[in-house]
Amino acid sequence: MNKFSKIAVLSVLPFISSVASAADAPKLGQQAAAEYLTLSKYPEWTLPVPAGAPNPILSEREPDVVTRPGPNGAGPALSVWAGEIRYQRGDTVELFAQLENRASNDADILTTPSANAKGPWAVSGEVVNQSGDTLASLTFADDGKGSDETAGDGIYSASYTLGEIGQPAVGQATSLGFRVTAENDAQEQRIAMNGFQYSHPAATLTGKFTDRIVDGNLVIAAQVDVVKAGRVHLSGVINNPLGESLVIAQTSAVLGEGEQWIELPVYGLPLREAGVAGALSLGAVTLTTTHGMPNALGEVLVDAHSTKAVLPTAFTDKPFGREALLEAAARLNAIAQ
Amino acid sequence: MRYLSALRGVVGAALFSVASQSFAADCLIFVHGKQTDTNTYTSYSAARNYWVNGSDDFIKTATKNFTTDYYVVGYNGTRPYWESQSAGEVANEIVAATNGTPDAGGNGCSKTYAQGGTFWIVAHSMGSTITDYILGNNDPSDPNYNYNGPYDTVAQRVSLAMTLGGAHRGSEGADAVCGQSSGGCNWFAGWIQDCDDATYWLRSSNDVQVRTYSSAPAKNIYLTGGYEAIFGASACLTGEDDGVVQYASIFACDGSASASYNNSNACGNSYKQEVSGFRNLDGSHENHGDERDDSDSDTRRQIPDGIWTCSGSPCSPNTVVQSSMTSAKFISILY
Repeated sequence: MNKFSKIAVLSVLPFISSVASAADAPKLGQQAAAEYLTLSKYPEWTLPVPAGAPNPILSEREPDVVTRPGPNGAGPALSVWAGEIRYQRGDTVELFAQLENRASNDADILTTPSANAKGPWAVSGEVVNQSGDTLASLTFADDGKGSDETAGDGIYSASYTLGEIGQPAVGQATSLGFRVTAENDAQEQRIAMNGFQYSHPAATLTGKFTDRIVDGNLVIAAQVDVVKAGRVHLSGVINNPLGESLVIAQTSAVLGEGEQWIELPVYGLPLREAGVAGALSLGAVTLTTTHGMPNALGEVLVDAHSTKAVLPTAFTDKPFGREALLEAAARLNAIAQ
Repeated sequence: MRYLSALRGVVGAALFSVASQSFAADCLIFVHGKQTDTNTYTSYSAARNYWVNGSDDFIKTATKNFTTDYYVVGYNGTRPYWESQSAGEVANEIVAATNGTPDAGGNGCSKTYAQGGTFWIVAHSMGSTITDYILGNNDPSDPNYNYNGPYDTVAQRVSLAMTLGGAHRGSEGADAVCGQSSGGCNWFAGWIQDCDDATYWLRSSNDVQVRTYSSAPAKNIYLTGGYEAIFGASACLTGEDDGVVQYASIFACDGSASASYNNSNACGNSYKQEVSGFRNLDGSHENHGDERDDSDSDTRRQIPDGIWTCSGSPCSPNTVVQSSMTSAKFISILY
């Protein structure tokens, strides 16, 4: 064996043996190919919602709670959140803060409160833009007044009305942060930051919808009011009569100014597969202005429209045949063979 | 002599097998994570070295000692994930790779897409967020279709993606740094030293998260990540984490980005940030740095809906499925 061959064999053998010992991890390509063949039944613009999963539009709009503990994870931790993830000019932004010890289900977390980490806490904050400039100062209270619902429940509240300062141009949006500081008499301090979007959509849903079935697919038309021409993205979740989410559908279009209608096509097959006989509902729908990043998020309308009663057989039984997935599956399977 | 002939035959068969495998195998495209400077964008060696730690080389191991084709992407890791020098650059480089264009180091995919090639993205940390954005904005119906690059071509040509310690739902480390509350949390990890624009857009606030600006990925994104704590930092993250990114984000979970997950209860495939396209692989006892430099061959554990099978059935969550395996090695056995 010459030197080259010896090196080649020595370098290759470990990988041959490791592949053999990896029988417990299936080849990813084959697994993906099998899934692509199933998923290819649906177009990218209509996807089934997994059974039991929450409404994906509403879930995406659920404000996240940001929690920051004290030094080295010491409790109590400060949690901060906004009432919504997006607001527009004139809206009152509601902001919340809470100090509490976290559940001890994480070995990394030291949940023991610091000896000095006792109330009362003075909670204050500021609204900042991405550059870190302060737009407003905030005082949080747990007194049951104003935006604070219940006195003494441990949830501190503050509010801030969005005005001209920091307002993005029409069709645009900007990310604003709010930084909250809690401090007690022993100078124990907790700081946490969260955020929300200051949105200035160029188009809004008027709340008027119609529906019809075309070639075995559901088509929902939404009326929109456009104040600046440009691209928009419409997404909606179709629910069954029990309120369970069946599919999420989306479309995009460039609209001119004025009152317009935009159609949201919903591919029929997943509705047929759901086997629902009766009226379907538009469980959640939202229009986003997509003139640039960040997109200007619109309001979410819930249970915005109900269709006429339909039978499952009204919808197509034909798989969509998504080309890119079928091609990918074929290539992956070819390699596997 | 006969022995030598037989040996030559075995060697020849092995080499032929390897050569065939090399010709037919997938091409791996590596997308690095967040950076505190632009080096990986301007310097190939910086992008390549992202995957190296001393003599440990993630790419060498993942490509089975370079017998599989690969391409190393370099982008500006200081910019928000959706910008032209980040997502746009990554998309353009991936398309170049699928056309057979070599990276700046001369490595490339020998079989182009037109010739029937297949391409897998391997992304770490912020590279995962970028992958979500590209693969979730490839269709004309998507909110940011082809925003600043050929996302549609990428989605058509890539077979699948794998992410390591992906910041799919942001990072609580970014929350802490941007909130100026890093005291005691020891954010020594290189990429998270300050709240630059990229870090700002990697917070767990929903108004900056990639899921808000993209749809379900056009191709599957497979998820793995570490649960080895980084002293100090991990104390400030919720649930299991790799010292920088928490499990809720690594596994692209729906619901709260700061929900507490571990190897027993990590979110399954039906509770992801999008209704399809995100799939669990496993958890590794690596920290955020180990995940991408092949330096820590350690325990791997099954997670819910994970890929490992035990006696033909899915292993139970939290089962030790490997006692000593890096993520790079793990990738090498998946194809």
